Amino acid sequence: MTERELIKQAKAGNVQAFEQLVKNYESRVAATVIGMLGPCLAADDVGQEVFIRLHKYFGSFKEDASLATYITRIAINLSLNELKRRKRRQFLFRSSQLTELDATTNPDEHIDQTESQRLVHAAIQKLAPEFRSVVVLRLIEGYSTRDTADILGVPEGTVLSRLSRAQKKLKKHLTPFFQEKV
Amino acid sequence: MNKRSLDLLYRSFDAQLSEDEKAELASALASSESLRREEEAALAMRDAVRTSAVRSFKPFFSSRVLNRMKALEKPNDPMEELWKALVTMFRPVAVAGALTLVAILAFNLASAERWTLDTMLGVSEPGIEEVWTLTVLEESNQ
Repeated sequence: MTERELIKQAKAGNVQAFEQLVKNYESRVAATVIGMLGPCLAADDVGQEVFIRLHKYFGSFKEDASLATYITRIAINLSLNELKRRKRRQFLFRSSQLTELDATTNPDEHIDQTESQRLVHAAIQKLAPEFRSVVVLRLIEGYSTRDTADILGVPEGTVLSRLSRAQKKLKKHLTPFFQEKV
Repeated sequence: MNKRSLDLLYRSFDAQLSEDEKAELASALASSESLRREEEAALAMRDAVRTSAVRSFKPFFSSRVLNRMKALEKPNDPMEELWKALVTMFRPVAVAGALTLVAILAFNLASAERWTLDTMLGVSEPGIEEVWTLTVLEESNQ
């Protein structure tokens, strides 16, 4: 079954077609959400919420549009909401460590990571959400600068300047660990 | 390595440079070893970020999504709904009542000379004249 057929069937209420779409897009959503939030337990919840939202608002999805972009946009928005919630909690409990705690003391133990993956994730988590989102979309997901700008709803110039600044910050964080590589 | 060359280098990874800019960057790369090192480092870093991506959730992710969707679609228990509605409706009243009570207690304590349970509750202690009047009234009634 082609993707177009799957979408049509899923929109018509076919559960198996929708499940197939979930399986097809799990890797993309995981890369986006885990990239944004780190490999924590909340990432799985947000990932599930992405597909629940997709199901809920499938009616408004135009079949000639890209489902990948549509799903990525939902994933980015929900991840940004989760980061805002974390920030609020951090403010309420006055704990500067909370963001790190979310990602490190509640790690998802089912996610196997190498040491270098851990270091890169930790460095990405140190970036502000607006920088993190461009890194995830452009460097991890491989979207073009224009698509990244479209998904985030910002001008292309903004994406370029955020990318440039984000890469300089990442390099600063990662250089001590990747001396021989970076 | 100047700032202009560095900016051009980073822009070259994600945007189309003009012919002039390409030539400028090529010349800067040819003449600056530190810029070449910067390019290598940036490319290695981009590669490390790209390969760091975790591309799956815990096993049985699609089943969890479908189970959660089923749970959301299930009609709720009417008694539970009623209870939730009552809690939602009375919560502001309860909070306002509690705040008023705290304000009254605070006012009573602030205006009392001594801090006792009676003063906190706003019960004034009877003066000697009041006791006398009450006693006389009681006796005259008898």
